Amino acid sequence: MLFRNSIVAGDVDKTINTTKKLLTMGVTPNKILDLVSEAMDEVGYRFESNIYFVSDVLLSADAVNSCLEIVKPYFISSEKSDIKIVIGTIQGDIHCLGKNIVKTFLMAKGYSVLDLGEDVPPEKFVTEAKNFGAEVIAISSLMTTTRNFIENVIKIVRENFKEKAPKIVIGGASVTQEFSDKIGADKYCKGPEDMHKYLKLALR
Amino acid sequence: MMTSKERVESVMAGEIPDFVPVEPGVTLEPNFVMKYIGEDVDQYFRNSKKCFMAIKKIYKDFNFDMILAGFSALIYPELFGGKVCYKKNKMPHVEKPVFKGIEEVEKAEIKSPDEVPVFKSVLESLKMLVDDIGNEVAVSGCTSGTFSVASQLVGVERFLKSLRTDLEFVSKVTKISGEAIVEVGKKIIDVGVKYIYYPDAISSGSILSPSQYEQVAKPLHSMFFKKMKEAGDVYTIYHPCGSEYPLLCEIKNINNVDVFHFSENVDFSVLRKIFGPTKVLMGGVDIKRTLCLGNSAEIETEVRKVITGAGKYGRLILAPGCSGEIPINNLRSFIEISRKLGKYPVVV
Repeated sequence: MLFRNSIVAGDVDKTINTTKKLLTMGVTPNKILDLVSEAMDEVGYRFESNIYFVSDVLLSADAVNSCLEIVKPYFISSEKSDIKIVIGTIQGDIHCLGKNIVKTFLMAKGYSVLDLGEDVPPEKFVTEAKNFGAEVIAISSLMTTTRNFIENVIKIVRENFKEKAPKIVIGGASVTQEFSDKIGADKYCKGPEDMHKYLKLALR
Repeated sequence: MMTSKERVESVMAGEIPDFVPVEPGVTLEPNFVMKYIGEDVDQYFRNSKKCFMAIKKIYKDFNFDMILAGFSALIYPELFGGKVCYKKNKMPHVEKPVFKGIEEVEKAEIKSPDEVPVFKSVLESLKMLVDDIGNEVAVSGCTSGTFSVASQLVGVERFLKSLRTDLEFVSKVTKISGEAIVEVGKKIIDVGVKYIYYPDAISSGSILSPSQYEQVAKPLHSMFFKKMKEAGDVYTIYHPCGSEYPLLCEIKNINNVDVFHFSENVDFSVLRKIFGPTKVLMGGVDIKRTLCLGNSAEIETEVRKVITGAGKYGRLILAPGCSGEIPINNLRSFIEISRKLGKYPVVV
């Protein structure tokens, strides 16, 4: 409970201490990841319910990252990380806040996430997805001016993958369900929790 | 028939104009403006003549009533000695935070906007607009908002986390940001602009809690509007940039705001009841769905709803809920429909 609360409260020091303590007590890294996931469920719930705001989520994300840094070396292989995702902010946009929150949340849920950064050209999303063996391309965008680039990612994916094309998930302030439908994205997600729910249904 | 400028002035004076004025939201969008004349986006900030010519051409081609133009938070780091990158076909961006710690913020010196070429260029383009077409259309100069500028100076994540962990840091960064914005606002007034536009996305309801807004953001916004009123005979426009409902009670009580520019997230008939019959409301039309993706029938439905909700007796400026890039056909439809439905007395 202490561990979970430290993440929900966004307390990095406590999270580091309790993570170490759990490991010395013999709790497995997978179990720790489960606890991280539970904590982030609560953070997601609080955010959706307007109990938490962006600054709260960012601090919780920091706490998660500090925990993941500690448990990462313990993972040899994990059945939880079989779904691979490349994520990035689309070309023409340098906003990273939403993308980083989603990335941390998904990592806390056990996905393997490759962060391509910001201002990512459409071609790079596709090339990196191929190289990484990603089942999902997650595209973030805050500016309406980048919409053509998002559409281009989908075109390139359709041209390059005849079978087993990665799912295209889009999110961010500039996109909507209508836009997603129009360009043929697989899913528009309002936030990380929404994306996790979709991935559980679509890929597991 | 009134000129565009007279139409807006009439709304500001509490009179009923011939038509509900329209502001199309595209002239503050560098990508739209410069693409319209086949130029690169960075020219919006770096070539006053091209920026002026592009905005004038858009105005002449579409015939709306208010031009929004001016500064983006992205370029403010230059006022503090920060390095902003301008690349072909890309929006400017700051390479690294200008300030790492509170000590650096305390030592910060703000350059005069006149001394920084990119600020000088934007001011020149505003002056050209005022001098050339300011007698026929309302020209509004955008300063950017305090939280938006502060987050560019120290990094968005750092700034937002500090809201919970280090309020002293937030207070110092927002103080110098606010001072810089006031200086820019004064320069905008000096070139003859009568409408000061203050948008602040980083203090919107999607980012701040109501208590953070009340305690930290609202006093800074209030200070800005007060300073602008002291600096000249101007109208002020505040754009809280979305997710307004949780903040409405606080927003309503900010003094010295003449126009509230709201997004489509709020129902304009509700806003009219909350803000009363005398406040000027602006915005209301959904840019992401309707103006970018919708057809003219959908635009008509939405324009009708905004006029019915808040504009039957004046005090309304139709506009997208936020600035952005609108497809040309929909931009044309939006203005034509606004003219059709917005003729006073309105029958909608």
